Parts: sequence; structure tokens; C-alpha cells
Amino acid sequence: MMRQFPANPDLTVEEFELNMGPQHPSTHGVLRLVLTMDGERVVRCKPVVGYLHRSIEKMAENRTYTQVIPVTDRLDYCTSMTSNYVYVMAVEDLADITAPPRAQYIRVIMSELNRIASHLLWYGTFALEVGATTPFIYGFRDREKVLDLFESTCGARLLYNYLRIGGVSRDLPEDFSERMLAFLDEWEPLIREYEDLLDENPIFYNRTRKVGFLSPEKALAYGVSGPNLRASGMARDVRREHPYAVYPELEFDIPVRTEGDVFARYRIRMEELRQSARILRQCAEKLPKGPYLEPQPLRMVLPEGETYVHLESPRGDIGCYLVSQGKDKPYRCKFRTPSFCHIEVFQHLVRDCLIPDIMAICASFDVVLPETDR
Amino acid sequence: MEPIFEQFIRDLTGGFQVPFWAPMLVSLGLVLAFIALNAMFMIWLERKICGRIQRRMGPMLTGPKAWARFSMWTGGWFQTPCDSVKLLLKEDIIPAQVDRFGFMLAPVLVFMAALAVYVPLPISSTSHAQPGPIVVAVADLDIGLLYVVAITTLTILAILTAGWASNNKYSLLGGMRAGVQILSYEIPMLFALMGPMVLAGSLSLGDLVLVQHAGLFGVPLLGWFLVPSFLGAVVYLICAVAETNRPPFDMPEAEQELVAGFSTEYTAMRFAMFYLAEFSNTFVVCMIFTAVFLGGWTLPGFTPPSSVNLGFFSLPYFDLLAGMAIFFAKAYAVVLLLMWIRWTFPRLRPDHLMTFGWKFLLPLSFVNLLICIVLAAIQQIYFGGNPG
Amino acid sequence: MQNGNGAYIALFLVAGAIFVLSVVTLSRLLAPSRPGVTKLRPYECGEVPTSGAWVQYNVRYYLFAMIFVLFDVEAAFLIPWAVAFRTMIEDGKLLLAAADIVVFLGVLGSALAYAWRKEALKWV
Repeated sequence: MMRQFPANPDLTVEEFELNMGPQHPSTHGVLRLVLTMDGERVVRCKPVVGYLHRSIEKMAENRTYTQVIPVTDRLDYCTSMTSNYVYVMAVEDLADITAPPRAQYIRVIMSELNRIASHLLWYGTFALEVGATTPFIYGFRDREKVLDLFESTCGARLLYNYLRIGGVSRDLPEDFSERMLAFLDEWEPLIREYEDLLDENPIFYNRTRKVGFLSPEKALAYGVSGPNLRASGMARDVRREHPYAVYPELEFDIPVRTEGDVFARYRIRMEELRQSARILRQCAEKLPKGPYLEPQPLRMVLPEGETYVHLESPRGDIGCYLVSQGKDKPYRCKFRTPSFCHIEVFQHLVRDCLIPDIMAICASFDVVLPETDR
Repeated sequence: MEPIFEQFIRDLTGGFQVPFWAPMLVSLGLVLAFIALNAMFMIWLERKICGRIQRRMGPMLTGPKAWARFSMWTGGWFQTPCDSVKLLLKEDIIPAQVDRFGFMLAPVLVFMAALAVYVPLPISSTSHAQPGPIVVAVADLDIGLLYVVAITTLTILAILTAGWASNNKYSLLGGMRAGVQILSYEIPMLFALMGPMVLAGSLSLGDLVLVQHAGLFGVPLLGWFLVPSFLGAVVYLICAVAETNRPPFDMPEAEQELVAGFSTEYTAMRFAMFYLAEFSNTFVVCMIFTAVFLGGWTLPGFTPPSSVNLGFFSLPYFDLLAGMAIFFAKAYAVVLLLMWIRWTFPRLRPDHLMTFGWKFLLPLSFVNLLICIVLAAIQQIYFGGNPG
Repeated sequence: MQNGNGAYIALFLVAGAIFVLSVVTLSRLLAPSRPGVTKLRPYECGEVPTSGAWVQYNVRYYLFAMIFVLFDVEAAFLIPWAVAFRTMIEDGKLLLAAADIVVFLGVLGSALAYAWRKEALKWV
């Protein structure tokens, strides 16, 4: 498209279309953005998703209830525990099973550890995408320690397949609490180190302040959830509003900021790291003894009915809608994933921004593509 | 280079008169070898420093295994030679839709600039030459400072050419950002360097060093222009990082944004030329910084003897060697500073760089120039003229 | 300047060009060459480009470019003065030298302030 300058009709500039992704260093896997550019400024942005579609929901319909669990691992591989959890929660809700208290605590511990791992991963990639290389390594270094804890618990470092209907697949190792507390003692001061690298850096500050402003109204209209919503001034958290597991017994704050920009989203996640550590310390103290699993038949049959449950994943409100027709397989298993909504609203925020802002905004939403495409 | 080379050959052969082209070719060969070897070393060092900052070890596997066992600083020595061979053996792809002339011209242009900038850089001095002490450089141009500022600008032109000729949108964006760079840093840089020019009253890099060695207000310690022109040094250093396209000013190639920016379509040796030129230019700005602000090959109040006699063995040209050692030590100190900056900061946004350059660096360099003028006037009126 | 310094610069420029051409030729001799349609296509993140890149690009910083040219020329005028400053004092022309620079920097500074005030120093 040609655009003319009113003062001088001989001068024209041309808009051009730029494909950013699927093969691009910073589109988080395989997001494709079709950008209409006017020089370095973005005129329009159209996200194209689906490059990572594995038909997880359809696969779930052809598997027994227990067999679906490893599939949900692949839903969001940065935080498999919460993906496991939301599915298991839906099945338990339909079958009217309550996991033993110890299992409840273990699930919360795993969710929060996974939140830490996911936020550390996010911290690294976010910093990388505003051009700072070193924080990436710092985030990954400490994420490894969390993964070590997972590995000692369930043998896997990325796709855990740990939760079971009625509990968890195996008990925590004996020294788990000590090792977790040792990790927290060592790691919590390091949050300060992460912040030192970015917070007061004028380059970072200018790159993130007043960039990608998301108003609370727009956030709600597009179904934005999790840290992104809390950065826009809404204190909404599933752990608080629809408490599940043992969250009501735990003390924690929900960090809120009102700026709604990239910097606020960054600060929220840093605060959440501290809150997660706080929750973990309480869990380690309160962890009851007892069975960790109420065994269920391998081919369990659920009564007819439907349910929708949701919980707070590191990325936001993840939900599972499960329909049973009285068979040993789900009739329909639909996941509501936060990243999908975030990509939806993201295209409006990058309008009139420069290319570097796209990266900052995209990264600040913590979009994970496998979860979007499912 | 000429007098010292002729002197050296005469001393060695007992009066042999070298032809006029011999020192030219020798200096060219020396500079080319230096660029290649130094770039290889710097790339290795950059990886090690980066590793150290990020709590990694950097390359450890290429090279003798026994060395790597000793410490992280002894491992991976063969990494960059291996990389060079790999680049040499990679397929040279020229995409179908490029402007072939511009596409091939850009790497040539960038390396021409990178090589030619070495001409006036002084690395040492010696009193051995006839008729008197001289500065050792390829050729100590009397407009040296202006020359290096002018010739390094060619790099930006080459990047612009590469970006446009590639017929790739990422290259185009990268090339246009090269324009952002030069518009932002060039003016503050010129004004920052004007402070030392006023203080020294000369544009020759050799003279600049000699004036610094003479000291300010009769105090040798104040001599380094880093002291009287401190703001200028800071501004120059920032501009120098921008000029060499190093992070946090690597916008023309901004990996996370533009994939590889202007060099997206370049492969193999053509890409290697950009890479080589970038590291060569990085070292050049460090050399310029050393010569203009850090007193070059001199130390305050220290004049190395022209030769040392160890009793059984007499070492001529000692002042030349000592000067070179001091010079390169200082230059590498600046290199380490640049590496530290690179691995710490996020990248700037192009428009922020522009406003930063014009609204912050430029007024700062004005202030610096005024300070330098006052100091130069005091020096001239109360302490007399230049030694040079 | 000694005679022949220009020759050094010319030699270095020519040698730079020859060096690049020779290593590129060497690489062409040694490296494989198997061009293909997809390989020779411009890179656009794995998609077939919808249009060429030679567009009427909107250079958003053209105002900077114009101010830049002015300042660059003025800086070039200032350099001879900077070099001659101490000699002028030696010749007893301190006032003249000082007046020169005050006027010059004054003009430059007010030009910068004017551009700043008129908001020319930002991307359009």
C-alpha cells in the first residue's frame, strides 16, 4: 500500500508485509506473526497459530481416563504438573473422589515448584528477548535445581506424568522436604540477583515501561488471566477465588500492580517467585503423613455427566471441561488454556509499536505455543 | 614504519638500502596477520569472558585435552581456528533475487575500511631511528584522528549496502538501523574527540600520546586525557560500542528481532568478513581509546631505556617493545570493559539510541569541549606550549 | 605528513579488497555448491515471501538525518579551530580564539535547543 504525504505528493512510503515466524529466534517455538510494517512501525499484526497442533483433545477421547494423563503433559511442557493437575481434578470431580490429604499437599508442592521452574524459564527468555543474554543462563541454572527435585520424585525432568486419579503416582522421597528447604534457602536470595540484573537498568526500564499497556477492561474482555491480569490491576487468582486442594490453609499474597505494562508483568512474576517460596515453606511444615494415593481401577468408568474445573497455572487460568457418557473413555475433553487468550489480545497491543517492542510484549505475556495449539 | 624498518634492516645487514615498497608490504603483511590472529584470539576470549560472567566455562573441547584439564582458561584454544575452517568450507549461497553487485561489494567494503583504519594507529615509539625519535605506526598521519573517524564510517555504508542489496526484509530493516546508529553516535563522537584535539593542538595520534606523556599543568599523572576530558572519554566509549555494532547497540543485527539483520542472507566467507571486520573494529576502537585517552604506549613519569644490557646479552629496541607491551595491555583492558558491557546490558531500542545520542551524549560532549578549552588555555598561558 | 602516506592508505584499501576477493574465491574452490530453489529464496522465517524487500521504506528518522548533516558540517569546520587553539593563544589571540568558539558553540547549542524544542528530535 502506498501512502502519500499531503505536503508533498511526490513523496510516498510503502507498507510491506513481514512474516515473523514460524522459524524465528524469538517467537517462542512456532508462533507466526504476519506484520504489516510502515518502516519500523507495526501497522497491523495478525498472529497465526496451529503450527504445533497435535490434537490433544481428540487423542484424549480414544484413551482411558488414566491414559490421558501423559497426554496432558504435552499440553504445556513448561509446566506439566499443573496440566496434569487440572485434568486429574476434572476426573476426580466427576467420579467424586477426594485424594488423601498428603496427596493434596504433594500436589500443591509440585504446582508451586513448577511455577518457580516456569517463571525462571520465563525470566530467562524474557531477558533474552530484550537483548540481555546473561539472565537467560541465570534463570536456567536455578531451574535445573528445581528439575533435580522433580527428577528425584518422579524420574522425569520435563514431562512428569506424576499425578494420578486419586493421588500421585509415588510418594515423595524421604529427604525431599530437607532438600527442598535447602534449595529454597539457597535460591531465595538469588531472586535479588535476578532483579539486580534488570530492574534498575535504564535500558531495560526504557524498553519495558509504558510499553504494551493492557487496560483492565480489555484484559477482562479478552479473557486474560494469571500474572498478566494481575499486572493490569485486577487481583484475580484461582487459588484465592475458587480455592482447590489445600490452598485455603496456606498463607500467601497475590501481588498486584496497576501499570499494566511490560515492566509490571515482569515485576508480578518476580513477586510470585517469592510467594511460591513462601507457600512451599508452609507445605514442608504442614505435610501430613499417610497414604499418597487412593488406588483406582486401571479402566475406571465414570458416571454420566459433565464438569468444568480450573486452576491457576503459572501462565494463568487453565481449565478442563470433561464430559462422560458412562464409558471408560472421556466423551469430550476440552482444555481452556491461558496462552490462547494472551495471543488474542497481544495483536492489539503491538499496533504502532516498533519491532523491538513486539519481542518485549510477546515475551512479557509468557505465551507458550504447545498450550495454544494443543 | 618506514624509518624504523629501514633502520632495522640497515642494522641487521650492515647498510643495505631497502626498496621503497618493502616497508609498505611488510607493514601490510603484519597488519593482516595481526587482524586475523587477534580476531581469533578475541573471539575465543569473548567466549571465555561470556562464560565466566554466565557461570559457564565456554569452549573446552577443541584443542589438547590435557590443557583443558588444567583450568577453564586453558581449554578450547582451537575453537576459533576450527570455526574459521568451517566457514571456509561452507557453501557460498547468493540468493536468486539479490542485487549481485551490491551483495558482493558489501563484504569487500567492510573489510577495506577495517584494514585501512590501521594506518595511523601508533603502537609505540623508539629513539633508535634516524634522525631522531619517532612514533611507530604504519604511517603516523598528521590528520590521524580525523582519518580514523572518517574511514570507520565506511563500515556503516557497507552494512547499509548489504541490507539493501540482500532483498530481504530483515536485512532491509537491519540496514536501515545502521543508519540510526551512525546518525546517533557520529556527532557526539566527533565532539567528544574534539576535547583531546584542543588539549593537544594536533590531530596526529602520535602527537596526542606525546602531549599526554608530557602531562597537564606540569603533573604527569594528569596527563592522560581521561582526566581532563573525562566526560569525553565516557561519551567516546559509548559511541565506540555503538560504532562497532556490539551489544547493547547491535541493532543492525539484533538477533532476537531481525534474525541476523543485515547479514541474514550472507553465508560462508562473505559472512566471515563481516564478523572479522566487527572484531577488528572493536579492537581498533580500543586502540583509539588507548591512544587518545589512556596515554598510548606511555606510563606517567616513565621513559623506558632505548636498550637494555643484561651483561651477556644486549637487547636493542627495548623502548619499542616496552611501549608495545604497555599499549596492548591498555587496549586489552578496554576490550575487557567492552566485553563486560556486552554481556550485562539489554539491547537499546533504535529510537531510544537516537534520543540518547542527541539529548544526552551531545550536550555532554559540548560540556566536555568547554572544560577542555578552559584547561587547554590555562595550560598554554601558565605552563607553556606543547612539547611536540 | 611524510610523502607517501597517501600511498599507504591506497595500498591498504586495495589490499583489503584483494584479500576479501581471494578468500571468497578460495572458499568457492573448496566449498560445495548445490543451489536449489528453496535455498536461493530470501529468508523470511520459513514462509514464502509475499513481496520483495525493495519498498519505498519509511525512514522514520529523516529529521535526525537532516540535522545530522548540518552538525557534521559544522563539526568539520570546528576541527581546524580546535587544532589551532593553542597556537592562537601562543600568538596572543586568546580573546579571538575564545570568541570564535563561544559564537560557534552558541550557534550549535541554540540550533540543538531549537530542534529539541520543536520536537524534531524524535521519531516520526
